[in-house]
Amino acid sequence: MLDLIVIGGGVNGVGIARDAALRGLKVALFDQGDLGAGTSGASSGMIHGGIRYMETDRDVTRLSCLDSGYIQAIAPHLLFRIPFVFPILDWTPAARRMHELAYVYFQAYDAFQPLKRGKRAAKLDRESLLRIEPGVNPNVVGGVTTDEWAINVFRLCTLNALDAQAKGAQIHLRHRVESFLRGPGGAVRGVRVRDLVTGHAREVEARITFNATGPWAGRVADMAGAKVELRPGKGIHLVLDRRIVNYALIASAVDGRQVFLEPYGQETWIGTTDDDYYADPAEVQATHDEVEYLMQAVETVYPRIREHRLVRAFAGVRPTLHKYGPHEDALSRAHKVFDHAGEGAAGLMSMGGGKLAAYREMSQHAVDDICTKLGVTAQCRTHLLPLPGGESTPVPQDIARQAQIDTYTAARLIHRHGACSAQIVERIARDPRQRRLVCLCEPVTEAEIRHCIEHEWVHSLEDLRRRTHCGGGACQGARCARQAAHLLAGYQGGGPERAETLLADFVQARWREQAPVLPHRALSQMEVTRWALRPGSKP
Amino acid sequence: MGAPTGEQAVTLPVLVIGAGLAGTVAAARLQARGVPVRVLADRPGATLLHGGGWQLGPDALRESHPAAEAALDDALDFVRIGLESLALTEGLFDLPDVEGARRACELAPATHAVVDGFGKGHAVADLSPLGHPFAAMQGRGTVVTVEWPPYPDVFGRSFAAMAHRLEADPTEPARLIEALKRALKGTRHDALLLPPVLGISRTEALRRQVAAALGIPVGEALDALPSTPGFRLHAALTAWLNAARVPMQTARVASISLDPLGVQVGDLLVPARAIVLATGRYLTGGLTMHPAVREPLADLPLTPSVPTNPLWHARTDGPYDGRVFETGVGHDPGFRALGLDGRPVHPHVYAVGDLLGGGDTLTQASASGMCIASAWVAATTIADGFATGEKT
Amino acid sequence: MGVLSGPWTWKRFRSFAYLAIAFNRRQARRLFLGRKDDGGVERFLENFAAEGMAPLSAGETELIFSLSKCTYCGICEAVCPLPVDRWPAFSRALEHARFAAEDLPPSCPPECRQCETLCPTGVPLREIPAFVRRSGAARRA
Repeated sequence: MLDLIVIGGGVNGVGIARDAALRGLKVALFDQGDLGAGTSGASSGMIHGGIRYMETDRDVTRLSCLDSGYIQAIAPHLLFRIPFVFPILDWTPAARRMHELAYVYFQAYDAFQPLKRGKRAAKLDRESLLRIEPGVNPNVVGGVTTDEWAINVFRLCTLNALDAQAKGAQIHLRHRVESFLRGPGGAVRGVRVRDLVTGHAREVEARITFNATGPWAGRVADMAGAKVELRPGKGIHLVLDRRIVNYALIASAVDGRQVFLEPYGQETWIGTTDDDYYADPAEVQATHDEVEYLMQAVETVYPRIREHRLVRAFAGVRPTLHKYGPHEDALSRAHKVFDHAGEGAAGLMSMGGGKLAAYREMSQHAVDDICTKLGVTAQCRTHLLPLPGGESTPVPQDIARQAQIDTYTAARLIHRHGACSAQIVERIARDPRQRRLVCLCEPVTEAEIRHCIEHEWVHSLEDLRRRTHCGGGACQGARCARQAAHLLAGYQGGGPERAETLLADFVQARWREQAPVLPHRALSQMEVTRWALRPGSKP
Repeated sequence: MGAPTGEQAVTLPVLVIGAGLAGTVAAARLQARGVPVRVLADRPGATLLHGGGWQLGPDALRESHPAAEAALDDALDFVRIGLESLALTEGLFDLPDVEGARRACELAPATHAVVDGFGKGHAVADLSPLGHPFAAMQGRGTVVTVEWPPYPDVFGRSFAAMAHRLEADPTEPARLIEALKRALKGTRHDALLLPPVLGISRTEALRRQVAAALGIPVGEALDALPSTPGFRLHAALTAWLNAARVPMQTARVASISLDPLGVQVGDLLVPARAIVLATGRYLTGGLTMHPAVREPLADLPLTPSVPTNPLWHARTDGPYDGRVFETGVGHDPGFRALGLDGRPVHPHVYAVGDLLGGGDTLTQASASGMCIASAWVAATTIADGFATGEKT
Repeated sequence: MGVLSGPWTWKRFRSFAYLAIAFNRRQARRLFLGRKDDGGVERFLENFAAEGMAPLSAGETELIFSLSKCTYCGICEAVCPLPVDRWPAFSRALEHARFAAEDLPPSCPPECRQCETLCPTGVPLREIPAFVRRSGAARRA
């Protein structure tokens, strides 16, 4: 019998699975879809230090910065620095005082920056600000700057899952939990899951079942007659085809909320919204109003934003803890572990709330509680042990030389795989033709695609996009999707027909993200992409 | 409206804007009918992306325009002769492309069409130095590894790049033939399927040369991005216009003036007897999307009409909402462009080709047939009017 | 502004006190010791330009608009003897520009305009090598 079943393959689910496996528990994880495909993958990707908590609880800020430092230490290759610039618009007579106050605030944050290798704040006058970012609205008194880190969320989820698996956990994706197995007194003693690919159902027993399904937590707990009270909040992000700035800009939306324009890897992201959301989290999608809300906000600090090219908009649902009264934005980002023993569902636990940056700490909290129940005394080590590939970060030139790929391709490979890039290099050494680029935008080699298919639970082209970003760039798969579909179909044994099915699913999934920004200067691309990915004739 | 009258009208040329498939057919047809014509083109567009399989229908055009439907056969004969170097062949084909998809089409250059007859015993050439696994090979014949091109620096380059190399270097075909001979030595195959690398302008001659040297039929798969057949089509269209002595000019047309009739190029208004818009769709700017979906040269209304901001109506839950890709300039049976009132915006302004919308490339893929038929009918209408005008 | 609204817990009081002290200390230093300690653009560039996130010039910001027109159709790569298929990706590689710059030619032959003539959307392809190299050099500096 297992010690622990984790439901949900988001960053918390895999974080819990890894932590528990490292403490010697026997773990199985089930997710109805893919790793990080829900809330985690729809986040802003920030491992921030919690600067906003400095006015309510400095300890939260300190702990957030500490944890940001831990995550850097265990997966240095996944993180990248994002300098933040807060332009102070010359809108009110108090603008100069605001400028000074904001700087004091950012300076106070400097006390925590060393915990996460952060850089000190700076106060920029108007000329300096316009020099470092010519696109900024000239109607400013100046700006203040600070420093944060962002992470590749999909890789973070994948690496946690890989490490959990390496420590003995079973990872089952595309498995839906249909019901709980109940024991004496209604105690939850496991789950009945259905493999959505084969259609087979089976029963799995464990001493603890942990519900880490984020915005689905209420629905899952409900199957056991238990309650997880959430106030789900929808958030969307817009993705531009490339970096248009090197520094993130903070802007005020029409309702006073803060939104940002951030360079994220090779792209630029605009986020985010926060609205109460009551529908099925699986159906969440950006709407035109939300796109307009963000564009309007960013326009105040970056006036030419509408001339840039939007590629897609993604949406997700925050599993915020329930509170009646406050505005969405004012809700606490705290998390909570629920023990449903008092509701006649002993053995079932859930988690709600939280934020991406705190995933490791939240997982630790959850596993601490699980271990207390199980009487296990092992301590958490997830902040000490590197994630796969995090042991060391290779030099791009070395990888480029060994694999005979260009240095840029090597640098991007290292960003995703860290020290594990060596495995892809080895694969290329065995078959040099696999150094060929399938995705030119990201770029991604055939060897990496094969590596991910073989080792990282890739079942669809969307899964592959999450692992490698292949098909997620500006061309949205025009050049790579069909080739990738044939590679994947080769493993799944379906032949060219299977490739067509994979491709059709991919096109549909991309459309969900493209449609909200459709006419935004990208119809020429859509014309090419639609042509390139049009279905073949039936044999 | 100010149609030029008298002698001036007769000497003014018809201006065809765009030199893709539709523009070329219209210009060549007008020239053949003895109508003075000039082509203004800026840069090539969707023609270069043509995959090699020509789909003729069915589409909105053929359903709603019996005149165009009736003219299609004559138009096709005209095109086949005009694009002689492509050796277009008619049939009901189901041809493989290099990425492993199969494409149903009714017309294809001989080099692709011949593949339809290939049986189980054929060989598939894997050009190993390029590194592309030629996906069409999957389950389709015996793969033979060919060590061509014999250069170290070509790894990862496209088949279209290799076709250009073959085109540029007169010694290259011989090297390819040698490489193929070596690869096929001691094996028996009924035919050989190549990726599309056999040059750009003399493909059919080259194909025959290779087939003769190997002693078996040789054909090529259709292409994806970048597309060798697209380059071939573009080259063949240019050659056709040159051979027909149609005056061509590289120019970016800024707008169209209806009174007096002419096109604005820079500061210059070039007067015209008639104007044929063959400017393509979004890729080439025949339709633009900013700030709203519109036809930018004459601000012609679009049908089916799309909302100013189609986003508000985009269906995102279901399958593709093709409206924004199906929309185009409305036209009468003679392919005069329609205005807001549903009547021709000017008796001598025509719209042809992709600009008309109609077939969505994803769902219907019937652009080739529509380009040919609409251009043919528009040119015929103009020429008939010209003939009548000359008599009176 | 909702800064002062909401319940005043001890933690919140303490946090606010820290901010108030920070504010007063800064003002006192400024007034009595003449220390500005703004950091300014020097500190900002020292922080980030060294890691490759150098400011974009107004010209580069402008160029980005035309680079964004690329539809990744591949027409340029088919007609160019240089590996131009990589360039659209390199042009997006601001944060890894120093690596991308290693695999770019010094410049295009001045007389060859094949790629730009054929590009359906008019991307200024020939400007990419210089653009990427500038970004890469700015990183190292």
